[in-house]
Amino acid sequence: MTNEMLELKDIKKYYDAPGFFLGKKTNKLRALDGINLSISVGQKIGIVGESGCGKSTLSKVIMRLIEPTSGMIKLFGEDITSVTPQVLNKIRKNIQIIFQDPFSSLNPRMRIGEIISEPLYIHERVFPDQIKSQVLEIMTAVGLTEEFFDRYPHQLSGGQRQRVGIARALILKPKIIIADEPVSALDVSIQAQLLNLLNKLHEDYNLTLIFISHDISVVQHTCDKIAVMYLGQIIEMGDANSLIQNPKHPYTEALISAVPQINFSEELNKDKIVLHGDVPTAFSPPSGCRFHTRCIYVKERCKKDVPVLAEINRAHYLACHYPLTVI
Amino acid sequence: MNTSVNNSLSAKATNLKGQIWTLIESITRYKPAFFGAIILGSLLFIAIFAPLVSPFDPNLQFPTEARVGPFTYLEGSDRFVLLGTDQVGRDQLSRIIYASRVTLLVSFFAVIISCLIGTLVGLLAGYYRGWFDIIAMRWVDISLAFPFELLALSIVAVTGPSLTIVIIILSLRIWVVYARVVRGSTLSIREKDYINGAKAIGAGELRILVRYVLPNVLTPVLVVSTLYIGRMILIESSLSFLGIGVPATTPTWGGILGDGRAYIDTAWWIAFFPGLAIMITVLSVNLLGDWLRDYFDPKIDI
Repeated sequence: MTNEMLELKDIKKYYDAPGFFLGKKTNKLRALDGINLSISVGQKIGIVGESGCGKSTLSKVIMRLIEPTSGMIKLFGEDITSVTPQVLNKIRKNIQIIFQDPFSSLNPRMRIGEIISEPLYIHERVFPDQIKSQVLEIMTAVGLTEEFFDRYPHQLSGGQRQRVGIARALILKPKIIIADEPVSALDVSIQAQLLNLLNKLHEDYNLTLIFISHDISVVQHTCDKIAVMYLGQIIEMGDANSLIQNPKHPYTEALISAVPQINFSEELNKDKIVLHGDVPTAFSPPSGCRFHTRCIYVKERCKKDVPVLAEINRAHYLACHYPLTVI
Repeated sequence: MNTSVNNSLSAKATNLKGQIWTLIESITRYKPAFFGAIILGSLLFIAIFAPLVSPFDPNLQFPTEARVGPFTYLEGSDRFVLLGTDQVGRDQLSRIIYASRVTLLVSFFAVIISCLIGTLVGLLAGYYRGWFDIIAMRWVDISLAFPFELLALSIVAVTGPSLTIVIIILSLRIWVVYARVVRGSTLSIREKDYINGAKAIGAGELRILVRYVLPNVLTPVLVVSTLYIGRMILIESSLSFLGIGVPATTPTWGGILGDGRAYIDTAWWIAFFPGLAIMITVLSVNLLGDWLRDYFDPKIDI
């Protein structure tokens, strides 16, 4: 396919953890265990999962801030897994990232104007004063006024800082933006503003958006495709609306059911599916289906056979032996 | 945000001339630092122009007028000794003025040299980790565990005492402190998202180190520097006391202090005044250092 923008093939990231004996490296933390994903131009894909499922690791692997243990990353059909640092820096113009925590993602010793113009300086050797108009334009686009230009990050609120982070990512006019939980550290009212901003920027700049979140409602608001991750694997993936309305995987169903809703009738609250226990350790994932320890529909087969991600409907992928049927 | 905050923000200008001006403006507003700067400035002036400032030859001995108290007129040599005379009748004030030359030179140079080396090593060790970190930090451990006087003695035994050797010895002692402090800060800074952000926008290693890590480890460096300038003066005096400091003929504050110790019960002024000089210097360096640390911290507006 020609409009494939970014393709991940069997991405694995294992971390070595020292065992009980000195220097003996036996345990492997499987942060990512075989991720296949393809993203086409202009798409908005959401990646959802509990904390510790490997969402952030995935975003850093795509950015090549972390080297994958194995697998292949293709950008515009070109393999970028083993390029030299010089080439990598050129490629990075095309992919930018927005970080989760706006309080640690901005250098406290740089002014806002410097932070936003830094990418341009690095790639084109222009100084902040020469491109002030360009910086101000992008600041206006993300809803920051000129008065912020000479301020320091600590003088800004969380929402304003996150806008600075978005502006820094946008100024290079990247093709892909990875948003790693961009709103989870913010107030709900600011969250909505920023999500709308991201949607607007997506249209204005024809961005491809990879949106990572633990909150499936946020992703639904933003994305047109959703991938659900559990313990380093994608377990369900499909068109946003059909996946939300008609989830096939029990885990997806539980995530959707966990979205808080304001209702005062007891009956509706009873229907919530509450998952018990924590995510099993990624050092030794459960046998068979990784979700079987917490699945409420678990059957014998789930403990032995590993379900494979397969297309069940058009563009709807699932890794479950017993897909849910419409109730 | 109110207007006064805005004004002081815009006051921190970006061009060099404006920067120097805001620096001066800030220090005049912050009184303790201003006081420290004036004291240090005068000390520097006195040290540089010692021959013009000092009333007498610091090495001229009058054994008959030994251990005369402060504020005395001596008829035999026609001298008014403001701070008294020492055990061989030399003028204390002149001795202290000349001693400021060596003392300030040694302590400032030792701090600057060890600051540069220690910060560089700490930065590289903390940022890159790996074998360099292991070797550098074990070296630091060894340096800290090794008895300093023994190290100083063995170096001087080979080279003989001189000003340069004293500066080198002191730097050898102190750079490890910088290395350790800077490494610790670097370890925490390198995990911050803005370092990942810098990599994401394509910043090179040098750029990340100089623009993203270094400014954020500056605070502990300044604190250690102001602490250790005072320490240096004292360590230098202990070297002089052991006879392995600068040559005995050159007066230093620590040296005079050490000599005066023997006469503390009969002639307190011999030890007291160089001690006072050390105290005033250390105090003003600390006042200045406090302000400098706050000035470079964008979170504090002074």
